[in-house]
Amino acid sequence: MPIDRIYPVSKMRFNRRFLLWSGLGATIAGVFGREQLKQNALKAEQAKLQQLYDPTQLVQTAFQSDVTSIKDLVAVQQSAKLQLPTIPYNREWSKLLIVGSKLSTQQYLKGQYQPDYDGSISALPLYTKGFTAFQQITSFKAAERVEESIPFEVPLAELTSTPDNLNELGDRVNHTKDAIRNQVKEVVKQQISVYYGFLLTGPAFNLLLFRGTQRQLEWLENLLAIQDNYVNPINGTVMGKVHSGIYNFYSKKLAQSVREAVKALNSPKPLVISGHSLGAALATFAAIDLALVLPEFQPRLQVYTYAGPRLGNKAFVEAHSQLIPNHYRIANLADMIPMLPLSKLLTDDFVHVGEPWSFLSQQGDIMPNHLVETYRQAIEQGAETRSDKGFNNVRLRLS
Amino acid sequence: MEHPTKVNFKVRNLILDYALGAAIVALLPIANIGLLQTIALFILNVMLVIGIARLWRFQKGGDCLARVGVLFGIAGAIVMGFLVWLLMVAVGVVVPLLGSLAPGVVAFCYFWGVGQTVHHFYLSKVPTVADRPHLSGEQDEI
Repeated sequence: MPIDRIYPVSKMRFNRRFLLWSGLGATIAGVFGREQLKQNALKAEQAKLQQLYDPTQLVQTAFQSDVTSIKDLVAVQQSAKLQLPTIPYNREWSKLLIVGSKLSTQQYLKGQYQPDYDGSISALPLYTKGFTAFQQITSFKAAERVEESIPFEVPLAELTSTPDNLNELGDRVNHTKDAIRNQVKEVVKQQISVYYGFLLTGPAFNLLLFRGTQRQLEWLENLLAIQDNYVNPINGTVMGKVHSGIYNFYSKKLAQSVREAVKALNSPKPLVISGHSLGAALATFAAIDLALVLPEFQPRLQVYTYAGPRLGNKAFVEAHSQLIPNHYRIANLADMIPMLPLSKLLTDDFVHVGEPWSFLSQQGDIMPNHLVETYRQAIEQGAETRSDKGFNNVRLRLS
Repeated sequence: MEHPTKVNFKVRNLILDYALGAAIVALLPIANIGLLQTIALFILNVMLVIGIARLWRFQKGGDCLARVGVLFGIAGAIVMGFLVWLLMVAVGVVVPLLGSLAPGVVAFCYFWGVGQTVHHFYLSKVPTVADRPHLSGEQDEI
């Protein structure tokens, strides 16, 4: 017997079912229609792209963009219009200055490990190599962040003389902690001020020398090339953009003491400012700062920088060059540090300042190529040149 | 109460109707109405469950296994929907036009699964003599 005889299906139910199937069919038709339209649009788009697709043109564009980016970098490096020096590069002075850079490193190391050292360069091994005729005016010290372990004596006397009222174990532990903490604070306070260079007066010229990078944190500051405005210390105008880390360090920690020391010089002789690596960067900032703050010294300033990184944008280096035209930048072509920061770093441009003098001393790794000793030996041999070709590799002799 | 066979027949039709409706809603070829479709499907799902329960006159007395069976059934419906979706994606690779029907097929399967689950909850309820008037007077075997 048919089922609708047993359980009669109402007309309404049949209509509803019929309606649902019809609706589903219409919906499926709609979906198919929409998909078809999509497919057609996609095919049209593909056909359009196919017409535009030209592999030869794409490859050419890729090659061209490569060339363009290199051209841009070269353009950034050559964009600055620097003043030509009015005084020729002095090889004899340069030989002395690079020894001086090593001397400043010795001063730093001696100061770090000998607490009673007063910064006198006459106590240093390299003093006899050309510096006996100089008289030391002052040394420059600045706070240094502590990163290595510092030996100190545990205050045993204080720890053992526990006051009678500290009976609880917790009180005793706290007392011990406080004693050690205070002692560490004292030790750190004594240790964090380190030497950054010195000022000498000599028969031919006065010399302001800054030491190079000695610690990992300073390397990091070299690499973290965020730019900041260089502000004229006299009138507050912006003179371009510079490497934020080194500029802030110099302006906050060293600038004031350097100004005061140089102001006290009262000497008509040239003031030569020099340094290696970080010292080169500090020397560059010191030169422009002194030229602006002590304008009477500006015509007498000469800057010799060794292995210095790029420090500022085009506006800054042009202003620097305008104020201090007698700036010589000596670089080992195999040294990576003068190639830092990158000429174009995101939106920032970095350009070198100073007349370039080069030599080639490839020792196979970053550090030996950058060492002050590598520079000293090359300059001792007179290997640095204004030419940019025909370099012979200078061999490094390590004793 | 109507005879269980009659109720079963009505419930089966109800589930099919709702599954068809759900498939229509899921397939609607209108852009940017995803949220609206989801809400509509949820409401239809609730209505389906209530509709089935109403046909069974909201009878109580289902044992523990019947209740757990509902959970298993819903989980099974979800898994079935997912597997059907995978199948339709695979079919869509070969026949792209058919792949576009995936939402409708998934909704249909899910509603069918949930409907059957709820239906079986009432079917698996422990029968009593009152549920089987044609057996009244005989000893209950369960």
